[in-house]
Amino acid sequence: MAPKNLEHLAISAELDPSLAELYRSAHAEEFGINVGGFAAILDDIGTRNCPKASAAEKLQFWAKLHLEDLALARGCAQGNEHAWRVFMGRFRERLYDAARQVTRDDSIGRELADSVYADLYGTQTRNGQRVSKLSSYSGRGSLAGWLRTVLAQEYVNHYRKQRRLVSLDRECEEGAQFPAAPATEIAPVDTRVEQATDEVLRSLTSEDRFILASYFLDERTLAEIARVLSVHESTISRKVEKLTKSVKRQILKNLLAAGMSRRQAEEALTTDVRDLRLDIRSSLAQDSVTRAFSSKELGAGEGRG
Amino acid sequence: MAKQMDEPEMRETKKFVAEWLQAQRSEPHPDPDLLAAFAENGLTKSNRDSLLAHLAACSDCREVLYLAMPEVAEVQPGFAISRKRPRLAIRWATLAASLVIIGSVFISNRGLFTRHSGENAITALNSPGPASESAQQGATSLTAEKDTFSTQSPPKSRPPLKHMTAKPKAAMKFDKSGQVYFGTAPAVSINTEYGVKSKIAVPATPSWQLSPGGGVLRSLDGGKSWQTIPVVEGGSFRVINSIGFAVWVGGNAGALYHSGDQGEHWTKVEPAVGTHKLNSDITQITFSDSSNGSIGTANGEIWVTSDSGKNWQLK
Repeated sequence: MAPKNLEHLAISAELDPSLAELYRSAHAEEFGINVGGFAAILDDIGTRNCPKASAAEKLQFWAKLHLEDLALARGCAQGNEHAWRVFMGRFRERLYDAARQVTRDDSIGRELADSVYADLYGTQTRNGQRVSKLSSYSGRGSLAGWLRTVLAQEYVNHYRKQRRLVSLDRECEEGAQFPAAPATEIAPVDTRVEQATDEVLRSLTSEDRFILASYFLDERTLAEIARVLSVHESTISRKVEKLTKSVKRQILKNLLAAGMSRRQAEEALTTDVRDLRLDIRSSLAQDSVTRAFSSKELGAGEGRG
Repeated sequence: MAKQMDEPEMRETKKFVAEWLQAQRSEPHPDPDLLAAFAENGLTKSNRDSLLAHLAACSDCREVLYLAMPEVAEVQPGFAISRKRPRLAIRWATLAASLVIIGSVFISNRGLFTRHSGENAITALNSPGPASESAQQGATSLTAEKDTFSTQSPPKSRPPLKHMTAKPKAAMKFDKSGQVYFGTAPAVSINTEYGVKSKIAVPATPSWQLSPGGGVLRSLDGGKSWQTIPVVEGGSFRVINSIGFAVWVGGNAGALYHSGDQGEHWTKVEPAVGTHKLNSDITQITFSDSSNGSIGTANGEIWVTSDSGKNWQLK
């Protein structure tokens, strides 16, 4: 039964044939979710993701969700036994496989998958009720893709935690126990270089910046970037080449416009970037965040992006 | 591993780009749902752009995204399509071009075949396998006309054919999504020593993709422009697969449509075995040729056909 404050949704779901059709196509009944409950789930997802949308737009948005996966996930989150049986049958092996793929290690992969299972089942309670991570799934991507992402996030958190708990011996080996005093005085560099770089990179599209970050910072292969963006490897290859050339040309142009001579500008471009007064350390401030992807944050971040 | 950058220009640019990008911060992190939808090409353009802006600045989320990508074998056929089709397109175009070349050479030099009916004509073509066979058949069929042609033909010392140049590859390009395509009706030129020149149009192979909203898009100019192809009113699809002239699209609740004429006409396909129908969300469409293929659904069913979707089996 739908809670009292959601009764209007239950009524509208029964009256609205479109909602009833979504309910039917999701097979939500099979997982113990009634039409009102399902309407409430959709309403919640719609409100979070497209709060200003009209009723027709919301309906369109809901129709594009992975409704069957959504019903299954929410059925599991509500403790429906049949839903869990279906979930285990469908995703148990895939979860272990994905965990092995993420960790590239059998035992760590199993450990990671077990830990995610615990979260999916719900080890914490809120208001006396078990909170399953599956209740945060909203069906925008497939459940399989969501599970892989959750695994990857857990792995990144785990890795970061391990990195913080590095042993004293290792710290000594790495010389981190007695680190050298940070260089307080950084060689002054013409701020025009930073400004020119900032201007040019800021003007790029987000996709171009993503490609550059993946290629230059993460050292991802062209094939990996291409897969993530669903394009051919040669497209990324051409883009990287084109971006590299245009970024340099634009920075040079900006430096000339800022009053540098061509020679000065060209020399500035060959400067060792360590001399630039960019506060790189502050960019790594994520290290100070306890967990990059805490459950709380995930919930809060839902629908953003 | 990353591709080695050996150009000094790239190294120089890398220094600036890397430093600037590292200095960017972007929080809070997107939820896994959004990242999964991005990886599956399921976001609207504005959502995709916002997420990419975050990803460009957040190394943690980029790492998660790359780690969460499925193994190549698991990739949705919607993404795999670009890898599969070019090879097929090349095969078809090569076959078509070969047939056209052989046919044109044959037609434009009928006299030669007639005069040299038998070993000379076949030696002149010098093409192995089926081509030789067709030339041989052609030569034989033309023997009946031998007398007519022989009265008009020049002396028998005429040299064999050469300088036959066919350039189907010249029309082959990569579109902006990297897919190989053939320009609209590219011409295959055939030159003979006798100045015979003919141009034969090779039909263009359209490119296909789904819009972020699940609409079916077709390009006939190698991805320069895309037109929305109406499949069914209000239809929104998740996966698309094309092979030759056949196109398949699948969506929620078993919505499955097929076109055998490059998207001009669409038929709703309703796979069923007995009373059991395909009514789950379609997540995968794979066809190895125009007849044999399979459909994967969200509830784990695999439907297989070996006759272009007329009959189905549930695996």
